Amino acid sequence: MTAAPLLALSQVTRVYTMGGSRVQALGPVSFTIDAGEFVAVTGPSGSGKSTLLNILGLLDLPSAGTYTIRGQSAMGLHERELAERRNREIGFIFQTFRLLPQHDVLGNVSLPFLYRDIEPDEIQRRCLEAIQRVGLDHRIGHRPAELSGGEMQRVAIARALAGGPAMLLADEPTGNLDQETGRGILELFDQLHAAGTTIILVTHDPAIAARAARQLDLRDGLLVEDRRLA
Amino acid sequence: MKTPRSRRARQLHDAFRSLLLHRLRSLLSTLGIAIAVAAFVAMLAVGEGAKREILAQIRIFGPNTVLLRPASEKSGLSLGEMQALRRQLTSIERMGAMRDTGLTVTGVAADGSVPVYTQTGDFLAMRGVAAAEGRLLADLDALQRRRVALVGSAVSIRLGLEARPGRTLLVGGETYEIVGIMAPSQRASVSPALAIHRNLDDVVLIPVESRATDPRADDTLSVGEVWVEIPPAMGPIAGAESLRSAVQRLRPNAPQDGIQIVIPIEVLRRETAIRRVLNLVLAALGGISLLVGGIGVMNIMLANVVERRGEIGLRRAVGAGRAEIIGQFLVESTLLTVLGGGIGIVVGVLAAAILGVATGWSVAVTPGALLIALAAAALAGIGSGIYPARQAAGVPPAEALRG
Ligand SMILES: Nc1ncnc2c1ncn2[C@@H]1O[C@H](COP(=O)(O)OP(=O)(O)OP(=O)(O)O)[C@@H](O)[C@H]1O
Ligand SMILES: [Mg+2]
Repeated sequence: MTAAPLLALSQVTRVYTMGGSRVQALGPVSFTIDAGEFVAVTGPSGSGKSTLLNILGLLDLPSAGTYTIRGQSAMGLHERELAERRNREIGFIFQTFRLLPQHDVLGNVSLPFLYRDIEPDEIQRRCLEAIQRVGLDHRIGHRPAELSGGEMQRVAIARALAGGPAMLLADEPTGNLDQETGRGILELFDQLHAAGTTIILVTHDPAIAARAARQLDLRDGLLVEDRRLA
Repeated sequence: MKTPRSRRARQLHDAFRSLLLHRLRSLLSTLGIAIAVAAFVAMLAVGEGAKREILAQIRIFGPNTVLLRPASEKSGLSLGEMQALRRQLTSIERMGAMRDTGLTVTGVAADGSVPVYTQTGDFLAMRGVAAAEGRLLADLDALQRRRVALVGSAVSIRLGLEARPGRTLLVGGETYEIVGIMAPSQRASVSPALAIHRNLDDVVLIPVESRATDPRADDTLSVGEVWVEIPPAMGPIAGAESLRSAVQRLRPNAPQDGIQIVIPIEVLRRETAIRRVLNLVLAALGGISLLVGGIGVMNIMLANVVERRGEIGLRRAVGAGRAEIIGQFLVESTLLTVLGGGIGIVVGVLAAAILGVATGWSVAVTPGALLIALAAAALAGIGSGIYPARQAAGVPPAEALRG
């Protein structure tokens, strides 16, 4: 493989300063992820998984080191540019779904297009396609309050997919679901991965991590293991 | 709902949805603004009504007219005194008078029901009377003491063929020839305090001079209420003063209060002053409500920012920049206050209408006033939204998504 990696971290650290004290939550870590990979980020609570995911998703910037997506550095980008990149490159999926109660399924899925100039027909087309992929065509007009947990997470995944991102970033996506429902979501991830979607999934459940082709294991903010299966 | 075309329109629609989620809260939070706008609209309606009334009165009297109003039937100026006054006050532009003779037209079908008034001087010109048929009463009629009559438009309709130009009418046993018919007067509501005579449409006018064949009797002919047009450079107040002293010179021994000097424009000013006080009260109420309402909206928006912290984080995650978060909260607060403004306009227009009926004042709602009220509401929305919006956008996205 000579193609540039999808994303690359080099000596990335994240230091939080609160009052007088400094907490080095992450790093220094260096690794690359290629397009199409399915990566699980594991580690105990407080090990820096969410901190890492926030940096990967351009919600936060490293205190030191460099982070590049498709060869373009995220360092020194203006807040406006970061937002635009998040809109186009990143699809977030959260443990608590984070659907907006004021919008129905279609409204929630089309949220990324609130911040992008695009034709209404195109919005419609992309949202319907994303909703179809997560298997919720029959619930388009429903409000989040009318959906089950599994359905809500599917809506959130459709929202993450609709914008056509370069990668999905999921932070404990099954943490609020029962095992059965969680399995359904993980199977959906498998399907998306099989179709070529890059997925980075944070979990502290080894069984879930085992589904990914690659595991990044964090301890105290440091990468202690980068394991590829098969 | 069809997806709006532009990004801005989609964001507006999104803000609208957010407000609809908590309808009652949204409605209550905007009550203060509604009261403010209602007060403003009512205030502007009363103010505009007063302005229009003054303008209508000015159209009747002119801004520089002063009235010499007899306190009793006997205390009025005589024709001789009026002429003397005119000779004394050379700067006066126009002077005229009209009086109810107490007589009626006789010898017609409507016998006894058509009042006859005398007029003299420039009265017709000062009232802006025009002839619909025939001619008006002229100076020569007065000079030659002709028995001629001018018929009001309503009288002409009532009497029909009996009141055509060229025909005659009986007044106090004398025969008067009809020379013309007046054009209908522009009806304008006249302030009750000014209580000018009956509308000219309903009377027959004759020259006061026709009531005496001998000029030596002029001193016994009462002319009634005298209208004096003061030169604009002098102004009605100074004009009234010089009239007062002129009248005193004319009748050194008569009691001073025999003739009231009335300045119509001043009477109107006094009358509208009470409305100005009410308007001040309404303005204060509006201002305080706007402030309190604005603080109320700000409060709700601040609560929103805290409550919707996770939503803000999510929006940042899917691509909202700081500017878009600020925009969202500003649009929400402005939508809230404009909604309140809309309610306020309805209430304000109703309040103005009720006030108008209750007090008899004329009130007038103008599109400009509504625009001003709505603009005030929108400004209050922006003013009360700016701080919460900045708060919302100030939270780092990763922070907003924690917890
Ligand atoms: N905004 C912050 N300010 C200060 N310290 C922070 C902040 N965010 C995270 N931390 C600290 O950084 C460390 C890593 O936190 P992080 O949330 O990344 O852990 P995590 O691996 O996601 O944990 P969990 O599995 O519980 O979600 C923790 O010690 C945490 O207390
Ligand atoms: Mg975490």
